[in-house]
Amino acid sequence: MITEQDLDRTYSTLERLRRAIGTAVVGQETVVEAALIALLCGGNLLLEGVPGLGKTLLVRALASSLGLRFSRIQFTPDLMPADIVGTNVLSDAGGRRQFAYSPGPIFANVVLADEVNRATPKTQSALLEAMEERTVTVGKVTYPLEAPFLVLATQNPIEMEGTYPLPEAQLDRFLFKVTVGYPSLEDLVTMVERNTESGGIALPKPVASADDVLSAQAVVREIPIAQPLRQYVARLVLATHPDSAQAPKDVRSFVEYGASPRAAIATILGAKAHALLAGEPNVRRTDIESVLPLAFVHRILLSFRGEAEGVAVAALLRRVWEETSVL
Amino acid sequence: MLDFGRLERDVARRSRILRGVQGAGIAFVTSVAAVLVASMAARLGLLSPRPDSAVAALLFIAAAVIAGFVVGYASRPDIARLLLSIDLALATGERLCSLHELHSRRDGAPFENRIVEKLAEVPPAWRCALRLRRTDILPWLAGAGALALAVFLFLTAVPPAPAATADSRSQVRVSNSRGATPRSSVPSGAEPDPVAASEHGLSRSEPGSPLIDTLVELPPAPASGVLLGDLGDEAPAEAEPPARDSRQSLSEYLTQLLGRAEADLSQTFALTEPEKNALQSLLQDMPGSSLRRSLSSLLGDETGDALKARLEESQRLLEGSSRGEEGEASTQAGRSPRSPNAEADESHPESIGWVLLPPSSDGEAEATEADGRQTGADAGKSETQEGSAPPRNEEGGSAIGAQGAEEAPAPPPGVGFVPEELLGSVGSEGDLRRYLTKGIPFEPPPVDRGPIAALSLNYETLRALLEARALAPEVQAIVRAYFVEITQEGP
Repeated sequence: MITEQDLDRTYSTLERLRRAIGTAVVGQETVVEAALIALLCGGNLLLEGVPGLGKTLLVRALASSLGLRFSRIQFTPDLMPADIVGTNVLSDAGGRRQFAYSPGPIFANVVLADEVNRATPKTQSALLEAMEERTVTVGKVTYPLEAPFLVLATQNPIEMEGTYPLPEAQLDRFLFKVTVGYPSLEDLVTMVERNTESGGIALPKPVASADDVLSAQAVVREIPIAQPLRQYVARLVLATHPDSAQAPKDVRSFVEYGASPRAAIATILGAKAHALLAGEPNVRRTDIESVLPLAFVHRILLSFRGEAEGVAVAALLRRVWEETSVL
Repeated sequence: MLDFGRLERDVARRSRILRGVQGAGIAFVTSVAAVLVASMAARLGLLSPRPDSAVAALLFIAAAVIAGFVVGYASRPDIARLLLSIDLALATGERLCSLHELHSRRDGAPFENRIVEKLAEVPPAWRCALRLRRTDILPWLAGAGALALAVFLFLTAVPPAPAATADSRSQVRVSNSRGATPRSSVPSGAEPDPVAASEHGLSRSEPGSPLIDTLVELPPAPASGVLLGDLGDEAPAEAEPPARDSRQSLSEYLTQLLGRAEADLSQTFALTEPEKNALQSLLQDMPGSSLRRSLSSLLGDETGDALKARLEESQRLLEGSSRGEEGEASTQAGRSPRSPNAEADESHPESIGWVLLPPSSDGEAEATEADGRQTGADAGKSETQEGSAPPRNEEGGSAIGAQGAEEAPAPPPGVGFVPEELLGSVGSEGDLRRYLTKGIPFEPPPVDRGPIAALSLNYETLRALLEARALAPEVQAIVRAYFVEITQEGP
């Protein structure tokens, strides 16, 4: 049961977090907001962008401001699953040798999977269980991950040599996919200034605890959303399927597979978190509109024709949004 | 403080009313469409409407509207969707529908309070969002238009009163070349003569024919000897004087007066002023001037036996006139003229031969008026009562009394029926000429055609020519001018 105090505390926590991250990250409001939404929803975030845009800095700032355990995994082609989830090692305990589990870097609250698409699919799949079930299984033993748990993965879209695109199943496990763009002129100047003067960029001090995050996650789930809006989201999901009667013409022409049910879940949860971040007590249509591209863009697979014609999924989603009636 | 429960109830009630109006609109347009179809069917002769059909149609529409409203009002509205539509219309941030969601789950106190606070800042004028839209009004507009059309069709499809029909038909003085009996001669409700009916079907088969309709709408020529009302089935009844009915009324009234005269033993029997007025009004409807003049003597100052004798004489005169008309009708029904044109008629079922009124003297016209109706080249002659039939003009065929013929000066001898110019060729009928006469174009009778001059006019060909615009515009103008001349300007 959510109380007025829980609500007030959540609003206060979010405001502090925003300010703390803002001290380290210049601009990139959309990315910061997406990261906070992912945190509030308990989901995972895939950041895509060219190197040097501050993706890693954002993740570090988020983890630092939360006072949570942070780990970074640099994905390379020779990275093995055991390097992520940990392995059993032979240890000597009191003159007695035995295998003991040595946890990997996945055991943290905020995990940065840097350049995740450079690892082999086998290694990438080591993240699947952790991302979805929040557990890690090594041998015959399953270890739970500490809450809150958040995977923030980055991938480089221009460095395709020696990369392994993420499998669809793993893509679907990311709550949002955010494309990190270039900063504006003012933001770039500020960024340069912060990095070249004084003591450089200082990570923020913790302004919220794990309990605050968990409390905020509970509040998000209680944010009311009207039944017609839920149905609207479901219609949006169905409209991305090429064989659906509600699909626009472009979707039928260029889409191979539409969004999964996880897209609907991610959209509604994300809309709730978006409303909370906006200080609203309920989900609005604009909240759905804000998170829809983030939740759908990596869940729609273009057909060969769509790929050949260079169709942008974002444009398709705009068409879906325009042609799906809210009532 | 926002009373959301009351707001929900108000929204639901208003929505029901709107749905009722929408349902009523749909029912209205549907029922009017049904009435419109029925009216069109009546117009086309597929249905025979009755005068009280209009009331039934209105009741049907009213019942449908009420039923539509009830069905719409009884349907249960989706409050959440309604509130969302209000939210979207008023841009309230989807607070109303969220509040409804919280009400349904009853555990969202903190959110509910904050939503209510935000709603209280700008109270939603939700009534503005729940109102009739253009699409709701559209069925009513369409239905009203369709209703107007249905009323028009109904009014034009309803047959005139039986008496008026009989009167109008009794004025028909044109017969087709086959001698078909005018429809008016068949009493209402009686079985029509199958022979006559089949022959008359020539003209009946053309309801709605543009040319015939045009002819019907033309006012009758005062002295043409031809009334065009019989050419179409839809001739307005008011255009034809109710002569037979007036005669019957007058006869009954005279009988009544005679009865009073015989009952009066004081030998001072005289007509009272009201009786004179009634008699005068009845006389005004009488068609023939001679008959009218004879009966007008009753309005004098005579009393006693003299007045009684005049009454008896008038009664006899009236009965004779009536018999003359009946004879005319029976003559036309029984006549089977085998004029030379009849062969052409048979080859052209649509063709109508018109018998022309020859130029006659005043006296002949008077006599014709006294006869009542005298049609047919020979049969009608034996049926006449008062006055003798005028001698047949060699070209003229039968003498046909025309209403108001005495007012029109008789055409000078030698003027009528003289072809003036050649207009063109009309199908197999040969040349179409223009004539100076008030009558109908005809071909000069060949020597072997006998004394009856009749013209067979191929209507089918004419209509086809006019409708397909095969006629040159100047020829069409001549045809039009011809009809105008014979119907309005007179000879």
